[in-house]
Amino acid sequence: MALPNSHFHILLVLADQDRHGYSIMKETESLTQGEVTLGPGALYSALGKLSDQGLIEEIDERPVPELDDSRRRYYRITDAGRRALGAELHRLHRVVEHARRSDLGWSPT
Amino acid sequence: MSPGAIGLHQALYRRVLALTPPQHRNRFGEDQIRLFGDLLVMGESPSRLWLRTLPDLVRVLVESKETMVNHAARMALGTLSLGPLALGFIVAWIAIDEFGDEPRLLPLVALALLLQGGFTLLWLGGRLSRWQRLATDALIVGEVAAIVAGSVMVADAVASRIPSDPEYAPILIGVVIAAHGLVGLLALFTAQPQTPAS
Repeated sequence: MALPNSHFHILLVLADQDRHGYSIMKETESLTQGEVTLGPGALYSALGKLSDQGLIEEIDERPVPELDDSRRRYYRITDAGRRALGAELHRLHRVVEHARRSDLGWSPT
Repeated sequence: MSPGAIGLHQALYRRVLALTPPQHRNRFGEDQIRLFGDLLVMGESPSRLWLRTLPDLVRVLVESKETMVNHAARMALGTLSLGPLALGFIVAWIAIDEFGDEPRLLPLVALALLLQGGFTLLWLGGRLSRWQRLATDALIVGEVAAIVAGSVMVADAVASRIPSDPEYAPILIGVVIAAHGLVGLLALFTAQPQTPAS
């Protein structure tokens, strides 16, 4: 089953490093050049669902403890999350390959 | 933006968050308020942020409603599955106790009831996720069978009743079985099985 767009992008930006909510929001915007913007409600709603599904987990560690607000929650992608992300990337890859082979007058730039 | 102004926006946002369901608010309310403040501190325009926040709020409300409906449907299916399980054990007990005297159909009925109840619980728990579509189809067939069996029972009981000495028990049992199937079917289309953690 395809991942919801917000879930996919959250997993994607967590794949390279642990992040807190603000960082996830900003990295998602940057990655998609502002095309995907998550409001605080949508972001935490998605984080809650991903956490309930075991695809991400909340962690106590802080990347730079002395520079960080201790009240912030950090999130890390789990092994199950990496598998779900991999499956979604594979699915998208197949879609792009199909589009490339089809006579759509389209090619990736 | 001054810290006072940011505090004011955060206080207003806290009021707005009071509209969201308590489960969501209790879990993430403080994080959202902090994030709202962080965005203002980092230079986000307040008007732009508020414009983004309102659709965001609607989205959370809709998602929470879906979650509540799913929860209610899961509760209904879980409760309904206890009926066939209990009845299955009773029929199995009768079949064992009266072995040889009762029709051979009885053990099969017990097995079907136990399978129906057990299967529903396994589906709800996400234990059948590997065969998700097949398992859901099997459950739908089971619920439709209950509706048909209950309706046939009612029709048969009504057709064969004696006006001077009517028996209402078969009609009542038929109605319960058909209603059980109908509610189960509706809940099945609404409920989502639990997603396995790994």
